[in-house]
Amino acid sequence: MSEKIDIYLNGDRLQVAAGLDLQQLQQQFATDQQVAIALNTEIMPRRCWPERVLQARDQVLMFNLVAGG
Amino acid sequence: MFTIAETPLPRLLLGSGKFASPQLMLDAVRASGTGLVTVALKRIKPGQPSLDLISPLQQAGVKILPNTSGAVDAKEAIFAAELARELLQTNWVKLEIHPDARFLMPDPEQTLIAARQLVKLGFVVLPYCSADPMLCLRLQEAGCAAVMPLGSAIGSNQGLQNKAMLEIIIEQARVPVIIDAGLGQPSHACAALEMGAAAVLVNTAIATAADPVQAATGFRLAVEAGMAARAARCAPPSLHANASSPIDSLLTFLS
Repeated sequence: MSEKIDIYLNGDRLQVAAGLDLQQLQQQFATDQQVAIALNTEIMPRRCWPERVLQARDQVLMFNLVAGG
Repeated sequence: MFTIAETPLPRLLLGSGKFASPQLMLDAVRASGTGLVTVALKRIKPGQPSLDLISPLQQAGVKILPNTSGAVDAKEAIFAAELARELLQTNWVKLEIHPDARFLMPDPEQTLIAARQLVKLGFVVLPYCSADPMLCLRLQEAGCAAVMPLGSAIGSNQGLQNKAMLEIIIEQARVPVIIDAGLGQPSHACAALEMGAAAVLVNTAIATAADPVQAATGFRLAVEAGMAARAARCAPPSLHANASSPIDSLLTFLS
């Protein structure tokens, strides 16, 4: 069985496979392709997602666009 | 049309919130003739499906303006603006900071702090703000591309409750003044344009109307009417009556 780590996604604790990168996380949890991600409060450009492998206790914030005035 | 950062825009801007369905929002956007629609940022709920709001709007040919709604201070607003820039590849932002959920009044101090910082970071900043002439001057000096004073509280449909202050803001402004928030009827939009506002931003009044497409059409025509009135330079009001028909010769004949 593959190793798991705990991270936080939008404040909720989550178990993910060790070695998962930000792009894989986005594909796994966000149905919307138009997403912005902050990792430990640092905004991560989309091009960096495949290189950023998640570490235990990382805090990930994931946002999409919604209707608003 | 008016221009912000050399981009021509129609004088009616729309918010995308509160519509019963995305299709209704798109239909209203088309009926309004707008070229700019605001959207908000939200934390996703992992695994829950979300609607693709942006592609249909982009296909309709409108510019997307992200707002910082939900931010309670300058720091959060700057973070939201940077997220939106990353997400939409736009440096335009509608700066909104309203920490009080009951009246949604914009925080003037935090808005000014955020505006100064965002301009330095290269953003085209459109701040939603109180109808305060000095604040609008300070936001203009900070380098904001427009100012967006409120007509009345967000979603209140009360119209131009701050008329006297808005007139001063418009008189002083060297950047476009967009009346944002509180416009409830097309006549409010018409009055704003007659006063000299560059544009209006409308959301609730259109989205929550029984027929949003008719409401959008009404606002489009009202903005057009307001601009026609401005071009006409209508005569000012007077205390006394001024006859529109000849009244003297008929009385002479009877005597």
